[in-house]
Amino acid sequence: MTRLAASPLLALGAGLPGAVAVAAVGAPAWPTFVAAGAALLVGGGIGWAIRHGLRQDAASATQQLHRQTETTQVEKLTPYVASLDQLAERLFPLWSRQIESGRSQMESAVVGLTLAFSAIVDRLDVSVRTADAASGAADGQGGLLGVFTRSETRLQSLIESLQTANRHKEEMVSEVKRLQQFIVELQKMAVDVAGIADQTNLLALNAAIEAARAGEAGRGFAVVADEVRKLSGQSKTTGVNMGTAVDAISKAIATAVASAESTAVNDARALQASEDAIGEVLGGFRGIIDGLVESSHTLRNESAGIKSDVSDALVQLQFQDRVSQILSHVRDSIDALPAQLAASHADVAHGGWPQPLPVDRMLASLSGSYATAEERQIHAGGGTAAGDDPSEITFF
Amino acid sequence: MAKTILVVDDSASLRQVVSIALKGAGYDVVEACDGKDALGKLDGRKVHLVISDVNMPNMDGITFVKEMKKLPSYKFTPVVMLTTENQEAKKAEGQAAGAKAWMVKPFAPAQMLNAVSKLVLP
Repeated sequence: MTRLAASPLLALGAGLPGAVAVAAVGAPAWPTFVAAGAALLVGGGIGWAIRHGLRQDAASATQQLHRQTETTQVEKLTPYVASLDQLAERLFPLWSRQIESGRSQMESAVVGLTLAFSAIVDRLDVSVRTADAASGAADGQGGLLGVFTRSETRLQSLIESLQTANRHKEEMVSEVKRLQQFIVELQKMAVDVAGIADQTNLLALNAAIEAARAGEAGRGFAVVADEVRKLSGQSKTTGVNMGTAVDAISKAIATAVASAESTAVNDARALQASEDAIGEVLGGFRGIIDGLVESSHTLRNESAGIKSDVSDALVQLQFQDRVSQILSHVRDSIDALPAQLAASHADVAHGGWPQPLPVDRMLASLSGSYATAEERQIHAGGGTAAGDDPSEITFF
Repeated sequence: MAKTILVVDDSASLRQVVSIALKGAGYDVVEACDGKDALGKLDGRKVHLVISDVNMPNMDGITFVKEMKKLPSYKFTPVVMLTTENQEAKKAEGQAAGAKAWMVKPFAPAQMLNAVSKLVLP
């Protein structure tokens, strides 16, 4: 354009010195001015002619230059457009598949983790129930604690029965000992019987003497006296026999008492030893069972704590759902890019020019897919944000 | 007899978390991966409550609730929407579709069970 504009000016510039020269050389008269004007017109005419010719040439050159420029630009753009096609065909799907792979792996891993946590809780429940059942910690009726309590009660009852039996034995020995006092009385009575028999015998002898003095009149009395003397003899024998029997009974009672006392002492020792042994065994068991019950309680408390921790972990694991959704939205947006790119330069192959990408529409599409507050926050220019607090519940 | 709850979510891990919590509380659980799958699971069985996600492939949660409410057997089955969405407009859509509650993920299992116990059919 500068060259085209300059050409008539140069022509006019060529006519102008001619006109000035004519005016300067000639006298200041009409012919001089006409000559100068003619020179100026000739210069202008030449300039117009030059300008017209140059304009045609310039237009042609411009078109040619334009075509050359376009060709050059197309040639330069072609590899770029081809690279965009490559992006669309190779890189974007790769991004999409990598994101999907990561999302899928994360979901599988979190499902596995969730199942593992669930299995831990189930196993803990089984362990706690088993421990409670074995120790009887839950209700105190079954398990070892129940067996121990029942055994303790029965053994205590057995010891009380043995103690009662011992007391009965002691009472029996006391009663037998009391019999010995009667033995002494019986021995005295036997001696008394023997003494009475001696006196009776003496009286019978005197009676016989007196009966002999009485002669015939005393014959009957003599018979009575003789019978009395025989009875006294028998009484004495009975008294002696009584004494012998009482001595034998006394010895037997003494032997029985001694034996009973010895047995009672042994029984008391055996009973005490049994009580001690039973107490020791029960004490040992009590210690073990108390330990088991304590262990069961600890296990139950720990189980409750672990369940709470697992529950918190299950809340935290829900991040996967949010991340999965975010990644899916980005993946879908990337998946839409190749079609958008293809559409934008579809005309290039037919000599057209690439069209601008519909970025606003693409952004709106991405925004429309959002399902979390943090996605919208980031889209609006905010920073990365954590998810919502758990369990925001609205009842309708 | 244990009550049955239908859990609808395209995230397998979320279904697991919800199912574990519900089963631990004594409920029977039927799982579906989207709204279309869930409609297929409504085959006449007694369902005492539905817990459904909103954004799912094939059929979203709002559409599923609308379709479910058209079925005479499930017209009065209570629905809890369990979703990452917390926009009031979305909540209004859920309410209009017939949901009884809107719970935002992530959720605490204890609070979810509390909500379930309030809404589950006798």
